[in-house]
Amino acid sequence: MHPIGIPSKYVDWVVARRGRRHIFERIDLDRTALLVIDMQNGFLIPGFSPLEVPGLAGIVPNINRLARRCRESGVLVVWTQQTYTEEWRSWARNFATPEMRDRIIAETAPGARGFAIHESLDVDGSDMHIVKRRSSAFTPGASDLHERLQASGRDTLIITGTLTNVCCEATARDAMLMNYNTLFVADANGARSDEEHTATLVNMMQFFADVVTTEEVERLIATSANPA
Amino acid sequence: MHKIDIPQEIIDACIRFRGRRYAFEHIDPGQTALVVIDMQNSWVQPDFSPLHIPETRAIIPNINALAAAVREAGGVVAWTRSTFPEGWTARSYERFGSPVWRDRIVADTVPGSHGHRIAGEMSVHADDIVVDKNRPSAFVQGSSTLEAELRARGRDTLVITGTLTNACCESSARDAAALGFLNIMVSDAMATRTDVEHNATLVNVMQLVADVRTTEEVIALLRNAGD
Repeated sequence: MHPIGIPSKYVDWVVARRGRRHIFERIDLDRTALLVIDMQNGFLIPGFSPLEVPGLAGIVPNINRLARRCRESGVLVVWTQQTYTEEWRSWARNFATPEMRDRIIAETAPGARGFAIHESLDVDGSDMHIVKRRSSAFTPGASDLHERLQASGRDTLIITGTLTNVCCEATARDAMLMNYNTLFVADANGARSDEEHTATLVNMMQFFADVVTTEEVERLIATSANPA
Repeated sequence: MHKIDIPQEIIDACIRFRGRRYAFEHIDPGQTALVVIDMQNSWVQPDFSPLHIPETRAIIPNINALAAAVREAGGVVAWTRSTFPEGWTARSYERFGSPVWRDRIVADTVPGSHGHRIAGEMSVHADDIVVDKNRPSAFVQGSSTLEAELRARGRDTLVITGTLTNACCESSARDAAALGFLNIMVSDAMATRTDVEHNATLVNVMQLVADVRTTEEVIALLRNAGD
């Protein structure tokens, strides 16, 4: 688990601009989805793939806790799984050696071991599953997440998973720009370093999302479940 | 100018994945566009708007030098202007700032207003592309016509500059990479509030989104393109 080390000057800036630290005092639970980004074997199993994010297992208990609480409260739980393909031309041609590219494509192909959600995650039969082909689930052609959330009447997203500064940040940025109310859970996201994790929280807090802890989400759900 | 500080282990990780430091060792100027994000009066001129980023002053000469080099090599130059449309800003930024702050950023970026105009210090040419965008990312669904303008001119390589490094520049670069563009972000031709935020963006993008290069390196790539 990453320590949450947002430098106080950034917190002071947002408080000066909006008069408070947090953005959402209540959320509409029937219109909310918990997004769990890419908690699949490729990123989680130690020593299995070059995609590994060391220490990622540390956030699993928080994600499971949130998923359980969300289902009880009418919040939809959505699991995304990343698959790398040749079709993502700029990545496939330039950002990996041919050997690395072929390995990652094979490991994250639907049905492959690296693609499957890790067994430590509590997936329920009522949850939604999304396959995505880009870092952000929302860029055109990346996945059908936007259409399915719209069909399900969801306009508020609680974002968890990995990597904090890659897929989670890219998805959260696009979500906010596409009119979703966006919450980003500091202790339920994982990156390769504390520095990268913290930098994302700084970006999120200022421009794109309400940065909250697992415990704060639980309180927010409890508050929101009661009539105002 | 921001002090650049990229941890060696991030550079090593890039080399491990792709076998070399840079994703792009050559660029084709005929397919290249310089994208200059939001160098408008609101962000560039001191004492005008709360949107002002002091570091934008320092990157003006580099952006103009890149624009000249890109044009000379046969590339195109595209300028974006950000607006905060009232409906989206009121809803999505409802709680990100006070109502006074929100009204102010909407007013300071209204099309046709002083704050909306590209700063007079920037060398904009008549045949450059100028697009308005209504979101921080120029490429998110419905934000602007930039993707169509670039595709119409056969551009698949973007040299990204402007402000803010970690807001509009980074969001645009991330979305551009997902759309298949090849990206170079110019470390000494972007600006934000702090060095920490600036460097964090460089670390984020260099792994999967964009090469990070200096102005001098990009100009050398453009000049050596025919070799």
